[in-house]
Amino acid sequence: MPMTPSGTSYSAVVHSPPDTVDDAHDFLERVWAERADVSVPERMVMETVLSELVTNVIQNNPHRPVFCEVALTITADELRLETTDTGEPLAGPPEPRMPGEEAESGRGLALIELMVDELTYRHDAAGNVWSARKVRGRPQAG
Amino acid sequence: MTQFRTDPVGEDIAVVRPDGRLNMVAAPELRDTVTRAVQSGRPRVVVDLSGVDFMDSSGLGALIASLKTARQAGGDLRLAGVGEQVALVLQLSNVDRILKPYANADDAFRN
Repeated sequence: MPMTPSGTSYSAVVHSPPDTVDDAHDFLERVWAERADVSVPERMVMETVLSELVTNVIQNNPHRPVFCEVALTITADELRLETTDTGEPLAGPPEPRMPGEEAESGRGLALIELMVDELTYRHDAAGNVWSARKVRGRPQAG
Repeated sequence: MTQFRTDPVGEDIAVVRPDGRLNMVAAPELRDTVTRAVQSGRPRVVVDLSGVDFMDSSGLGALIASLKTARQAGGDLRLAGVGEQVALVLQLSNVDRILKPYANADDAFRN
């Protein structure tokens, strides 16, 4: 069946507390159960990206509850993951940089950048919006 | 919910086996589990990741903190049973330079 150009979107809300990054992960597993066309490497990328984004939202807002809406849009050409959260806006533009091997933190955004084709951040009326786009490979036969 | 099992091996080795995801929820428990093993006189620690199909930078941070704990006690920390996603994260972060994966827990401290 041909896919519509606009693709199909799946969404969920992480409300922390009590939700955790595990709830975001469970959301993706429910999507994969419906979408056999998303390959294992594509799943690994999306799971890692979402885990890092939601972890940042929760860690950047230690003293307040946060609402984080998660949306995954799947088209024939790309996977787009967007999170919109009500937490504190970033103080400046994000600067993903991989720290040294012995660092115990600070790798999240750098890992995302290495895995996707585009990562953007904006702050608007809805809150903090992170968007990660991964171009899909050729569809597998069968 | 990620669970942890610890098995003693020989005189000073502990094999820690997490089962589930290694993310910000499980990271503190991993650190605590390794610290307890080291404090119990087993500073040579193998973290067998064959039950872990997902790890992010929080899990990575906990492994590095655990490596430091083991080394401070005169031991070391080695990884075994690394799956595809975990290997990717280790490699992209360059952490595979200090945490080289071994095929299985038995090989990690052989020789």
